[in-house]
Amino acid sequence: MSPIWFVLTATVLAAALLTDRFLTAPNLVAVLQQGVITGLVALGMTIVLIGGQFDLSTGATVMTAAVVSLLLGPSTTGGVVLAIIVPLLIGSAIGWLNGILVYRFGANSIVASIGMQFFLTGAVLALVSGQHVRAEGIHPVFTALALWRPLGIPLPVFIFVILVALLGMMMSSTRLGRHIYAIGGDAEAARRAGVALVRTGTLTFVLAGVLSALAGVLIAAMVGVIDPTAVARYEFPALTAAVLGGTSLLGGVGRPADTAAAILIVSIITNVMTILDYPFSHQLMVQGFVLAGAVAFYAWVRDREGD
Amino acid sequence: MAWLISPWLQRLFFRPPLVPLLLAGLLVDGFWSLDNMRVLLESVAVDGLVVAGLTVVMIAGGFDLSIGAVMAMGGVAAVVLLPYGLPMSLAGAIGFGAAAGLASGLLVTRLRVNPFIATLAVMVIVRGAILAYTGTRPVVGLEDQFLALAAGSPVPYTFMLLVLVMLGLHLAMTTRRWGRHIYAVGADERAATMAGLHVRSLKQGAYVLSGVLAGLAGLLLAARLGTGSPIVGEATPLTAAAAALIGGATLKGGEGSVGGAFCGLLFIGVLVNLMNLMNIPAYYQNMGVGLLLIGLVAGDGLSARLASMKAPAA
Repeated sequence: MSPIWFVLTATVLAAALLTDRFLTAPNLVAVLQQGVITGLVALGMTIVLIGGQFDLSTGATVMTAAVVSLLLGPSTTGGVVLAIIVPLLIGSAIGWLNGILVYRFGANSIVASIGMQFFLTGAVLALVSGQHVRAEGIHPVFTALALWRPLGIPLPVFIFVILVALLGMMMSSTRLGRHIYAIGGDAEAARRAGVALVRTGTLTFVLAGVLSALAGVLIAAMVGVIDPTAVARYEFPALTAAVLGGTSLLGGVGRPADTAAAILIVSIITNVMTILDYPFSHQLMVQGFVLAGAVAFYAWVRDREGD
Repeated sequence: MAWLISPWLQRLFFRPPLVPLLLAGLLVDGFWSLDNMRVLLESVAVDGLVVAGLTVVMIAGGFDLSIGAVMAMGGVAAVVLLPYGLPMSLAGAIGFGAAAGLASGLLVTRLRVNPFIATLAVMVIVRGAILAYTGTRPVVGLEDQFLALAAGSPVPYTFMLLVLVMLGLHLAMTTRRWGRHIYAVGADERAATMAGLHVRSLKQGAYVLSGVLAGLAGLLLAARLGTGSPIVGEATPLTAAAAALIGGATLKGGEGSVGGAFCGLLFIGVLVNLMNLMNIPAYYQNMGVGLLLIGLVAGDGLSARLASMKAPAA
């Protein structure tokens, strides 16, 4: 059991002690809902990191998917299907390109995916000429993606939980999962042992692309209007969560469920600080200290185990 | 024909194709005008200081994502401390920059945190701190003496300072023992340690240098903009990294040069200036820079692969 679950328990206890408005049903639902978007991005990021690479284009992928989804105008039933499928296809195409660049051409993944981020933000802004995107007469089925609440819990939360479970099983008990850990541990050794390096590695990026695009579609369904100039930097909180959950930046180590726990911690902290009226700037600082503390902690553990 | 393959000619004509780009500028109306040259030099001067620091960190095998936020902090500190005099303002910008660099360096060298993550954490903390301090509003209250720092015609003072810093650092990196040690640390940290180098203090020094230069860049930017804004520099780490990479630095460390990064900086500056003169919207400029970065790293990776294929199997 990863130490992150104890931290999560402690965070919940501290939050409950700090404000009595925390442990109420509507607020807990809000905490979960808040975590889902970053959580989807963080899940994809975790898998790419386990494979030993970085994907910093995920935030731009979220925005691209959200804008495309709204541009397709989900006002008819057919439109709704398109507004869901097309962004996911675009997300997987972006991931595939990243994967090919990194695993076939041997490009540094940090710089390549930052390049992709620049390209995507530029392309999306050019596509909409820097204007807000607003879809008229959105079909209720599309809005239901975000707003339908079976058992009082929003649908995106269910989607997230199911994906965490599926990806967790994929990583822990399928051959594909073992291969991803293997290439992250030692790419050359894995290749010599018969792992299809390019195919497996590219797949991690495709997964990150699809998950980010899904996050974008959910945003589109939630708000119905997007300001593409307000570039949301989802990749940084997502990276924070993955690292907080114990995913190694050197590859080969990490678990989707631990990332999910870290996402909960980050959104509980944000939630409590919002309830207690701390401005965004303070939340940013706390995020930074949490990230620094987490990496320092894992470095300390690693050193102790190493000696 | 040996002069054809001289590294400096290669640098100026092929990697990056700076001279061809400058010649292409002849085709664009107004590029070679005195006014535009001043605009060009002014635009690269502030970023250039940051590039110089980042390049040294990259040669030492590290990275610094915090430079944009530190630059903003330097500007805010300079403006806030200005009532106590210009020296105080300068000391503030440099001091806060050095403190941020010290923090990054301690995380990297003492706790052995990955440099991207360590400086990301510092970046977020610094950005949060200045947003909190300023209440997200730019700080004003500048005097003429301060604003004069950004003047100078036809060559802006800021650019003259940049040339001095770049030249000094280039010489320090190529002719002094300190510079050779920085290269050694970046090329092979274990070997450098075994050779008896003070790896920790060398890396620590590189981060402090990067912080100081970023703080100074912030002061100059504040003088140019006439205000200390807490939100500037969001894209600075990316453009600065692009300049250093174009100039021959790598993310592995041990390679590249400050002079090369200066060429990379000018290349990007000229490219953006030309695109502005040709009225290409910012969106397409973003796409262009993105494609350039992707092409660079893909080429980098491919050439490394080809080189390892050609090398005799061990």
